[in-house]
Amino acid sequence: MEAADRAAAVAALRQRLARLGGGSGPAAPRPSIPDAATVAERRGEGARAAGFEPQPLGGGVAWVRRVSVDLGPFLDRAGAPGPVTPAQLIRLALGDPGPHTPRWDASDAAVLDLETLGLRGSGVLAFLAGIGVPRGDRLEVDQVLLVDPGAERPALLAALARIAGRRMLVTYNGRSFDVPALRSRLIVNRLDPAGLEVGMHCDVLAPVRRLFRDRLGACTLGRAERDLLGLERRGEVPGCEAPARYRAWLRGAGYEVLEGVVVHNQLDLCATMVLAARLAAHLEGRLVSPVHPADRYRLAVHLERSGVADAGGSVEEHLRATVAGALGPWDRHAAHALASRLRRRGGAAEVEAVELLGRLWHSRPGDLRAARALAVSLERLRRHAEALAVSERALVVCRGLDSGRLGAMRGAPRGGWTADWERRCGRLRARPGAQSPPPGPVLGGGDAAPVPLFAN
Amino acid sequence: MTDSAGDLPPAGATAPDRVAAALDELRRLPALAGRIVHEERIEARQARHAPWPAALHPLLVEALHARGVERPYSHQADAVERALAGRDVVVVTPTASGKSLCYILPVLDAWLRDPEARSLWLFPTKALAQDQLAALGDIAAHLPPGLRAATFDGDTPPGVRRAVRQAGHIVVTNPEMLHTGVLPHHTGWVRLFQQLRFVVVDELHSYRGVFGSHLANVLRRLRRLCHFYGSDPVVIACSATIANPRQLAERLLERPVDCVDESGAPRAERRLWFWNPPLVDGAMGVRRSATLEARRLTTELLRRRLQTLVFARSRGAVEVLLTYLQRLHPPPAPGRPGAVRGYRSGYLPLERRAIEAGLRDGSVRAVVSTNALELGIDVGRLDAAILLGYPGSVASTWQQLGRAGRRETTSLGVLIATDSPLDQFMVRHPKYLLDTPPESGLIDPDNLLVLGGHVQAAAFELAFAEGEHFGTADVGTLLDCLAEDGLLHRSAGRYLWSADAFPAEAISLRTACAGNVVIIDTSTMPDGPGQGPHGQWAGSAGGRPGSHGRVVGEVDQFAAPVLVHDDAVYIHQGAQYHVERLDWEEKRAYIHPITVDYYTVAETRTSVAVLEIDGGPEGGDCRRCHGEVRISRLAAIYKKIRFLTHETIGAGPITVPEQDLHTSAAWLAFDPAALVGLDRAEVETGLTGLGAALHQAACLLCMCDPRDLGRHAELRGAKLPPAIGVPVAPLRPSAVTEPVEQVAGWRPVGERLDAPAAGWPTVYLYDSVPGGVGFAEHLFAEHRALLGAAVELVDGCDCRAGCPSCVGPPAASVDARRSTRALIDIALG
Repeated sequence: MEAADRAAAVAALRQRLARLGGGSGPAAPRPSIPDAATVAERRGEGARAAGFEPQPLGGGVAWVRRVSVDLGPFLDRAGAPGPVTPAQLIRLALGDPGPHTPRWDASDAAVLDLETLGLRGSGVLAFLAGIGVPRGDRLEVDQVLLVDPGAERPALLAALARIAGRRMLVTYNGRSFDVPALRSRLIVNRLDPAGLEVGMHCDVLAPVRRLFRDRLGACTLGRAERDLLGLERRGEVPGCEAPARYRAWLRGAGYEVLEGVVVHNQLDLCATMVLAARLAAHLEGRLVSPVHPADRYRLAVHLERSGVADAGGSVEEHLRATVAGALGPWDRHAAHALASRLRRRGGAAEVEAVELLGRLWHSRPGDLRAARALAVSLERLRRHAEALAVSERALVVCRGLDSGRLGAMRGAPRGGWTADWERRCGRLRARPGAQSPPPGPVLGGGDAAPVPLFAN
Repeated sequence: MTDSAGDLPPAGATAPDRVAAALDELRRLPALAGRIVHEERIEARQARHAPWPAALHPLLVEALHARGVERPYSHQADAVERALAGRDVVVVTPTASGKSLCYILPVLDAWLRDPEARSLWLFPTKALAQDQLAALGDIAAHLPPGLRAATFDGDTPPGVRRAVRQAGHIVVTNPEMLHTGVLPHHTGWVRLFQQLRFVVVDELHSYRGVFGSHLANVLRRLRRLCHFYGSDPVVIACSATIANPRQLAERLLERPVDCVDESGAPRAERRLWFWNPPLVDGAMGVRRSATLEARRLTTELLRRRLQTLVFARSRGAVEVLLTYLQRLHPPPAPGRPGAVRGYRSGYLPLERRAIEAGLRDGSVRAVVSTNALELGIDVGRLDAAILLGYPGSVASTWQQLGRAGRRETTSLGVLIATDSPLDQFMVRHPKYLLDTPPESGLIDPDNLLVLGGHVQAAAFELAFAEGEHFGTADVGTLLDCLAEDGLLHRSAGRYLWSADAFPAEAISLRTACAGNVVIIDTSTMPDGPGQGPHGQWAGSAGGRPGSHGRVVGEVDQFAAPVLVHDDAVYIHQGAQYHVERLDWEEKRAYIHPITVDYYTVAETRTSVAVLEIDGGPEGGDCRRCHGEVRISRLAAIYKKIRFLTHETIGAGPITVPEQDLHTSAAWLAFDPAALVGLDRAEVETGLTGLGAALHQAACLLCMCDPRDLGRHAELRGAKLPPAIGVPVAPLRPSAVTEPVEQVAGWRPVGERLDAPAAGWPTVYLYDSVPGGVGFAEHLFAEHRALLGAAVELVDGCDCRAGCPSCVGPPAASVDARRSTRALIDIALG
């Protein structure tokens, strides 16, 4: 169809759509723009001027720019002792890296970040792919820009070439977003997505959430950057503007409308690597400052769950530090976790656990979890009278609570709290010496004034 | 499951002669005298079997034998054979004829031969989907292990979704989920699309009108993706009896479809009773409550141990009748379920499953249901089905009646008429229901509003190539339009999606455009949005008082000023609501329940402008056409009308702007010269009555709800004699005029194209959906049938000079029936 006929047909269709109540009616007057070929040519010129070079690939052209960024000042500012190492990346990704030292260099890893036109679905176009390779203190960043959306295939091949074969892929939320988005575009362009399956994937968002969700709230990269690294970007283009800017560039705006997006992408890559380094240091004991009340507790839980060999008792150290803090609910969580560890060790450690649990329960008689652990430990230590006193007091508390609240309590034993306490009391009453008054103030009951240790 | 599966006898099975004897006894009851205005007996039918298709996997045949299915019915064998041969097929046999085997067997056969084979099953409701999975499980239990079948819908947990995507052999879903949850995320379903062998579309007849038009486009997108991934699945569809199943299937699938419509399933004798409640006010045409009639009849049937299903038109009617019946048949003990139960989609799934099971095992003796039980959920077979009011279409009527019917015993179907004109027509003209083929299912996949949204969704899924069609639709201009708007980027001969929106989300499969007015029940006020077990919760961003509540429905913008204006009494599901406020800017109407003795009627000024004539004019004294029109309607005031007495007890203003609707219409224009003998008042009354009669007849023909069509009558500037018998020179029709000027297809405002019949009295029937869905064109094509039905309606009415059941209320001094009939005669030539 000739261009004039085409324009007439479009106008007629638009009028009809407007009459039917759909669409936006007649198109708002737009400034006249050159034809598509001219616009495309200008985009290429703008990209070239910004440092993007055309590379023949896959029957087309991929536009790539390489920049080397010195991460040293950012690492210093963030309090990281140095760039993240392979062992640290493995630890972040998998937990305990084990006794073996990885036999690959940091430059065998790559950090990935995409700028896209949407957030979900197979049709989301990735118009800028940033891939960074650590080289010492520097990050070598390759950015692949989609100058012509019709030439997506060469751009994808260029991005894939820089990812495939890596030992480790580092991203921020890449497991949910960047990798699936890239995979979708590969499939839609009939390219094999197997190249995305690298050795390991360290999605830095996961440890950030585990360790810092209490202090951050929303765990966006920007917030993590500000609160954990102390880095703030000035005058940069927010990520949410990226789609509109790219579309404007497609329609003929100058490259300057896009430059901020390209810089934003570059900074995201740098921030991800610096964040990885800082997290690694945090796991090794160099805590992010200032220390949030939940930090030590979350760190202790993370270390324990990730199976890290507890060299030097770091988990316990963090728990004790939290318990000593008495700054909020975290001290109770930490006290429970610490008591649990001490009880598992038994012996003198269990005696310490009893004291800790006694104080926990004493400060909050409704903490049946603490009471139960206390009663069990007392029984194990053959302090039957005290165990019975605790059990009877707990039973009174139980009977005073409604079933809904009881059912919602953590750690409920099989058969329910009340039945469990009744059984325990019955068993303890039959123990020798159980009926004797316990030595010293009765833990958790009696007329002795409570010894406040915890804030609530 | 299937009839061939050797059913267990129901609890308290009734012998054939006992059921027939019970019905004979009922007919003789003095209390029921005069109510059964017609009885029809449909003869029994023997089963017709056929051998298993030779191509069927032997393991599958063994499994069926183990399940007690020795040989298939003829229609099952036929359909399976065609599907195995790679032919698309639509199976059109009655309820409980074992249609599900027609797709279960080919799917299982494919899986047995290739463990990677996949299939996609589409059901209009989740309940149906669950039911069919259970049926599949019965057979699969006798096959080698490893078959993975699961539903994929809004309730599927994330972990299960992943498993279904990666490894599900049979994915059972619904159109909405396919539209937003599968197709736009197709790269997560690669294995499904690559190995897709069968697509099952159940309840095909439900995909008509706007919904069907949308589904046709969803199927276009599905086929497009299948082509991309290299598969070409066979489609197996199942449909209730409609007039044009093959045509509807071919319109939906856009390729040839075989039709299997000779049922081999057996059926015992069936009796149909047409039941008209007695008049209580002959002058006003008011009859005894149909609900009370249903109560009486159900009670008599239960007394004779006949298991009964009652279909009511609305949830409110279900609850009312259920209350009556449960008072007479209370449960055995407090807290224990009784033998009389209710059923509607608002009940919890577990409760509904229990009722369905109770019907099957006979412990539930009667159920009062909405049309939720019309669709093929397995509830066994019952002795009697009562329809409380005409369901709105012949096809639905037979679907509901078909719920009764045991293999060995007589069964009963009863249609109890309410006061409504359609009901009265059906019960007075039983032959219409018995002899008329079920309505046609009509769709228009190329309705521009529908098509436009799906082209965007398709472009999001895969770029369009220049010149590529979307199904059979040429979408080149549409793609250019979208590119001009910046939604697509055109490059290297392709159109790529370049917006940041998710286009599928903007499309509702049940409406033509997104600009509906949402109706919110403020009496439901939850603690914040998102609460409550049923329906959707609407929250206003502004936290406006009364803005939180349950969304009970939607109405299009054109109808909103008439139906939900401030202070209107709005009827929803049979219940009354008061409209507190219509927020026109936000497109929300806030209502709360009310019980009053009046209703409201909006008075409107309507005008019609013909924009394009696509068919006609045909005829002489009455010229008929169809084409594109603009309906302009201004609702200015409303009146409050008391029930029964029809006195006006109040009025108020309606302050909503004039609304325009661009749609398709069919119209009849009468040459004034042919109207000699009728004065102006008679023509005016006749036109109005003709519009009413044609509207009702059109609903019958098009298988649509009365709200799917609109009507309008215009006297226009015709000079008509002031009194009968004074002839005047006939008016010459205006000369045909071409549009003055066309600039890029644009016509000057006010240009009217309805010449050559400009100035003639005209009656219009139009699609209520912007852009139309094909009703008007169908009515134009079937004008003789339409007029014939209108004749029956008018002639068959018992009123004297017009009533709401035929041509509308009588005019002051004009015999509306006579005037209407005169116009129909002219139209028939």
